[in-house]
Amino acid sequence: MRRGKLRLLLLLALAALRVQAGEQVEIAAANRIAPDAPEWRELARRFAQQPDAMAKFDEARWFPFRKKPVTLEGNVRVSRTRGLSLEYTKPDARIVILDEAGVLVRDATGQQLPPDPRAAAGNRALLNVLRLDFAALEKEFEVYGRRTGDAWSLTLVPRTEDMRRAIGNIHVSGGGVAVKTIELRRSAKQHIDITMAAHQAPIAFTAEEMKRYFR
Amino acid sequence: MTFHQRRLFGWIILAAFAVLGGAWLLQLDYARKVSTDVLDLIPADERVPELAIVRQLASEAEARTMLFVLSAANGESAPLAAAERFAAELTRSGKFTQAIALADPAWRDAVGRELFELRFTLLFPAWLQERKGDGREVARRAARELRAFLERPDALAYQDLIPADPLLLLPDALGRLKNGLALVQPEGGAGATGLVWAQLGVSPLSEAGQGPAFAAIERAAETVRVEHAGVRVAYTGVNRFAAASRARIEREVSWLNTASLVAVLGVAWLFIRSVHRALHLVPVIASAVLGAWVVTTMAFERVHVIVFVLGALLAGVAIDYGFYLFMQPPAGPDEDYVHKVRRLAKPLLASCGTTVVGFALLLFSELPMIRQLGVFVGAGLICALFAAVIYFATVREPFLAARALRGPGTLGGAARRRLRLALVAGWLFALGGLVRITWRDDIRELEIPAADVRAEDTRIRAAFGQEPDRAVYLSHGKTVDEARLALEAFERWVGDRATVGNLGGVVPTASEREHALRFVKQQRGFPGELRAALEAEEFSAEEFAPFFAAYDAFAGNVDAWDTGPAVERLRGALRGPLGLLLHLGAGNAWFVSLASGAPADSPPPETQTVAASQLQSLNRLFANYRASALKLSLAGLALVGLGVFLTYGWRDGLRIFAIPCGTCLGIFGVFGWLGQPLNLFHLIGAFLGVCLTHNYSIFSATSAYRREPPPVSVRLSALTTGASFSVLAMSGIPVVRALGVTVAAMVLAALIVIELEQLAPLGRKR
Repeated sequence: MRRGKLRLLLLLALAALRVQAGEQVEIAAANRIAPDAPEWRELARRFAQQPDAMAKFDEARWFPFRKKPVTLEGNVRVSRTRGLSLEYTKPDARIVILDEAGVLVRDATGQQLPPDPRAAAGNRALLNVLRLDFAALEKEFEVYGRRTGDAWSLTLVPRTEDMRRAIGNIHVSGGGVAVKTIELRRSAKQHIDITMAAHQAPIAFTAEEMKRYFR
Repeated sequence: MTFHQRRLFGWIILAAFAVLGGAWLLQLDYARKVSTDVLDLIPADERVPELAIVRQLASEAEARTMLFVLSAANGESAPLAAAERFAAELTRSGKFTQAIALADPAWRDAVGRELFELRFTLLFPAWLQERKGDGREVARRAARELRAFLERPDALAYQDLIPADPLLLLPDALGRLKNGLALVQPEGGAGATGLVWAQLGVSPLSEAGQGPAFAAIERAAETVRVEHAGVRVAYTGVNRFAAASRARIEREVSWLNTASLVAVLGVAWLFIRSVHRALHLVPVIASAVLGAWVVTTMAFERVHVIVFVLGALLAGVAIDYGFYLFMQPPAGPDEDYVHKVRRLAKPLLASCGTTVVGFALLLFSELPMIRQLGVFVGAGLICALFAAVIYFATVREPFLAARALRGPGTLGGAARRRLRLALVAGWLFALGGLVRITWRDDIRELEIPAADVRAEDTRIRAAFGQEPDRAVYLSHGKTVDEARLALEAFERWVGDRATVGNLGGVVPTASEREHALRFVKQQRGFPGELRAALEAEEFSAEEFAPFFAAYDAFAGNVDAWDTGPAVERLRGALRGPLGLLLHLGAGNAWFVSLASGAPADSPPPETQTVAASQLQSLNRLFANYRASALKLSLAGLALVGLGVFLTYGWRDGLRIFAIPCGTCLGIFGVFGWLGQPLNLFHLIGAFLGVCLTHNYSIFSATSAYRREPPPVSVRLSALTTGASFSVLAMSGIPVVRALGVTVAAMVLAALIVIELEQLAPLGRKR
């Protein structure tokens, strides 16, 4: 009996650790969440009240034709009014802006580059994930999730075949009002892993920053 | 021949002419015969190749483009689904050859797929040109570039293509195309979802390209509103301007004709005792117009409608012969009609003959419209003269009496001398204005300005990213290779002075192709070297099997390398605005470049590139034709003058000819002083004015020889012509206004000169 209890406690502890470490949510009916589920609604409300924020991020891109991942670094900025800005700093400087008007890409000189419309769906999903906008996510994805205390995980399964081909499933983990990891997984050999810095500082963007990092 | 026999004979001739002419006109297909296309004003075999290309571009593709902006009920851009549905409905209507929602990436993806399929034939040469060295060096550089490419945020879009394209031929080409894409497509985003680009199946200047197209657009909009309530559709295209212009011209013609008739009747009422007897002039004018229509439609396969509009001036000239013949009193109570005709034959034939010769000279013009006008007026005048002679033979009393009015002839000799001196002084002053004459040739003056349609057009084009400062260039040649070479020269000329977009990035030059051909043949080990280089950069070379298989197939068949079919295949895949960027025709090909912030100067001739602003080119064309028409007019004037000198001798001829020439120079001088820019239609008006005033001058000279004052028919003719052309001077169509002002001013000025008995000395010396 004691051994059984001990084993159960151990399993629970492991499960909690796995969630905290960004363990993916299993795609199963039991994990399907409704956008208006009280515990998620409460978390979404806290996200909505978040001020503008900025954090560092690392991105690892895994391709089937490359033995090692390609790594990128940068800063992510989230504005409640202006959307999401991904400022890649390594290896090349480039800014990807996602807002209500769509996607905008700028190179190091500030010149606008034509965006790829196929990337729009994935980028739009990222924007909604970082805002934890369940209503918007639900339109394009089946949403699966799990919460354990402050820690939470989501798996987003595209509703359309086109989007499934373009970006695959999206796995997100977070703690409180901070997103920790995002994985866009097309296959075991082809996925993009984004890790956000633990410190996601609230920030009031200056007019100059608004102009530089947003549309 | 008794009067009854003469009348019967005359009626038979006139009736036969009317029946045969009417039968000819009735069987014509007017939709095919009469053109309203402004481009038909330009010769099909235009001698300047670049202008011929512009003409072709304008008629074939550019002019058939229509732009649509769909807005939701709240005023924001309509959703993409609404735009896609609208485009599908337009295509289904059969009135449009293609219609695409610009925010739908499918049309660009189709081009991308085709380019990917043709990547070795079309993209490899330019890629290789930028990477000098042997196979090993090229392979190492390609592998390094692939690694660097994967570090770019936008690389993800290509990740599935990379196993078949590790050289990044497609991303490289699309990168080179980016300016072109940005210039033909507005910036993406919510604002672009409601934009639809479409191409009409027929000319926008034809009936089929207007009413039925507008109906199809309305039906498509209704269909969209079923699913997307409240969607509004705003659109622009050449057909909107053409339809607005046509509607306004119809209104213009209606009120101008009415006002002209009222003016002519008013003048006739002032001068003729029995106005109803003036109806005898109707058969003369009707015969002239009938003859003009018949001969012109027989002589030309296609006649522009403006010839008939300008040809209305024929009535003003044709009526002269009728007035003169009808209003000349008999020489005596016993003078019969035949004798009267013999007596008046010299001035009638001299006047008609010289005018016809003058207009016949217009047949040498390069401008079809001018040639057609020459035939129209020339044939009409001959018919008018013969109809007048024959018709009045059938009238029992071929004399129309005028009212006795006080004219300048009642002034004392001193007063007339003073007035003549004042007139000469005024004329000398006016001549000074000739040096201030400026010319402005603007094809837009052929239309009535439609401010509301223009404003809508500007708004819609701005939504499509077409800024007013955008310039269009055409680089042309007999073959694609020649055109591509011209494009290369043009790009060298532009340098970094402008942002330029075109399809040059996806069509190799001949030298690039030759270089690539040598590389493939000589560097047989390239695939192996690339495998090694990829492994060195930590790629799994075996994952690139699709590329190596495709490369081997290409290299194995490289002797048959011909970019021609590939370019044609690419052209077939170009949809929407991209389709306008490349033209492949029999014996000519061109690339279109769009430039933002283009240089002010024109590309030099060696670039084989023309700034293809349709407006500028057509204006330049009109300027060329105006210069040509000026030469012809001067030659015509010389011929008319020669006819006068031969008929009346040098001394009298000079005095007679001084009236049309002096009036013309004086009126142009006044235009110069007033700062009124002149165009081709002022010139045509002046030519007509010279012919008219020349008639008055000859008829007045005939009276002067008999020591009589100028005949009342000249006064009546000049005043009716002046009245009707003064009405034209109020037209909303700038060119018609130009014509009206010029002719009215010349005719009235000449009348004043004649009334002041400038020709009286002719009688005194006999």
